[in-house]
Amino acid sequence: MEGLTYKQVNDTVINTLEPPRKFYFAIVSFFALLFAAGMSVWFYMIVSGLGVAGIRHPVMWGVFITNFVFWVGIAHSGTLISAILYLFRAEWRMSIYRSAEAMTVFAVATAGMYPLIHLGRVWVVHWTFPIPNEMLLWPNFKSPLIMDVIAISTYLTVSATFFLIGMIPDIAAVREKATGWRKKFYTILSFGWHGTNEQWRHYGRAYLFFAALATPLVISVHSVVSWDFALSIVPGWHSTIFAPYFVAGAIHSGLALVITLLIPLRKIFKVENLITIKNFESMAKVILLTGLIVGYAYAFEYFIAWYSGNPYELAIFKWRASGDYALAFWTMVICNSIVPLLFFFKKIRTSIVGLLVISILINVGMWFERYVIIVTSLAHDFLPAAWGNYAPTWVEIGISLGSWGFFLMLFFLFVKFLPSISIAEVKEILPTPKREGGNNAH
Amino acid sequence: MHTKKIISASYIYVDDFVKVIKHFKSLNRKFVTYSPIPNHEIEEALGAKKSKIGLFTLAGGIIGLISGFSLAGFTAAEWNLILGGKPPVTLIPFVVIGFEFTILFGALATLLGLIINAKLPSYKKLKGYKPEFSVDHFGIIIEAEESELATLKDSLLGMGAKEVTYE
Repeated sequence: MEGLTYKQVNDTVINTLEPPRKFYFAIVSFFALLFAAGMSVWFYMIVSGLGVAGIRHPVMWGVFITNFVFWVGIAHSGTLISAILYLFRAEWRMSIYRSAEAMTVFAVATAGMYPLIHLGRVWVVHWTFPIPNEMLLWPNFKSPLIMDVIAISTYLTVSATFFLIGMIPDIAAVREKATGWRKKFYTILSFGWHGTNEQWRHYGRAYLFFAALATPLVISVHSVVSWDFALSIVPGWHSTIFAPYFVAGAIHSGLALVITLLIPLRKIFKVENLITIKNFESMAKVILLTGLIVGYAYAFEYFIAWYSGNPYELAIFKWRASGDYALAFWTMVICNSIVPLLFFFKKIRTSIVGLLVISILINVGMWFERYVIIVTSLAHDFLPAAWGNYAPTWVEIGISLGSWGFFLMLFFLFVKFLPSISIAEVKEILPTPKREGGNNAH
Repeated sequence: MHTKKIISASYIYVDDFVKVIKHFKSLNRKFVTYSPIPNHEIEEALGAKKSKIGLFTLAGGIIGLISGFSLAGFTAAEWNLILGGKPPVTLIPFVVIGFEFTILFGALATLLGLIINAKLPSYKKLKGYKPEFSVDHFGIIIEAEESELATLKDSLLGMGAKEVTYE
């Protein structure tokens, strides 16, 4: 970013909001159609009953809950980049955090659909919230599932607020260049921001507090999700390492998806000077760390299963690696903990092709991780007489594809309507324009 | 009759801008400054105190913590669902609810604090504001008597202003 001026940054980002070409409409329409198709399949499932999905005894949590955990995990890297790295003053986050944060909000929204889908009777979803009702019943706050409802709702509210607040100064900058209906749109959305130093004084402090609140929140959310499993007594789930294991896995998958999305984005928008290879390299280094943590967790689960002397625990872990779901298990191990080791080589972590391929493989692996944890433990419970395997039906596959359509549709709409790179924060890391001294950006 | 005018000057260099702020502060004049980014040198020159938004966050967090525990405790006491012979109102599982409510209320209170302190949203047109102030210029707006406009303009230009206008 050396040699860039404030105005160049401003213009480069605002140019990404130019009216799109036909190809863009085709892509957004495709994802919208995919989403609509997914919703139609859901409607079919509501009308026909949950029986049309593959979920049946003993595997009552299948792809729907796998997707739920996967999408919540995806969300985590956005908050890591926007809040945690903000507190650490990591400059490489500046040009990528907005897209990552948008990904967080859309991923939590996507994740939030799955408990509704899995409920079956979606029209009674309000029973999960503490709303006074005619039955004088309240949700049981000792249940990790209700804790999850509270955690996810809080996460969606806080991350959406953080996302919108962070965008206000940039929208004000866009407003100044916009015309017609766009001018009105950005004027309303900028909340009348003009960048007075009085506004900046309060804004800076508020932003710091949002970051400070979002940091423990993000760690708590996936911990609570992991307790959905760990607080049961099911072999393979009942483990104290689940919370850190899930949080590391969440960041692992989320960062990989940020890389997958940003590589085409920077090419299409020609913002290679703002989102540089250094940004990707830094993310790859964090992925290397989370990959090692995840790999350690996989190995440690086996150690504990053996060391605890619990035959049920050992049996499930042996079966995971060699039974009906062995393919899913080895996909998970190879994609999540072996392939990311390639990032030890600078040549690979600075190669666009290498980054793209590895990031996609990590996401495949992370989806299978959730699938393996959920399905194998339920399929082989304590009683061999109650065992039974699971495979998703076309209903689950259709709804899953629909949710990808929903997520990508929102992301594509976002990059054309809102600044996908933070203008104000990128300006902040440029040298301050000064008349005296060599710190002159103009 | 004296009519007040608004004089608006824009700067491209922070060091020039800081000098201008110090100059007008020493004269005890009232002015408003604009900048495209937050800057510590400008903040120091303005001598503004630390924002009190943290108090909103703290109050929100405390209210949230109490609300979370109270809600979980109250609802558990309303319907005694006894599990494993343990008392219905047990604090340890409610820590999660208390924690999430602390964060939620803390964040919403911070938002409220920002809205109140930064006076947002406000859609009225600001006199003297120029679009460049959101791009790459640092701006200062001073209310002045018509008689002193020429002197002020010369002084602002003398301190490195790129452009000075009045309305």
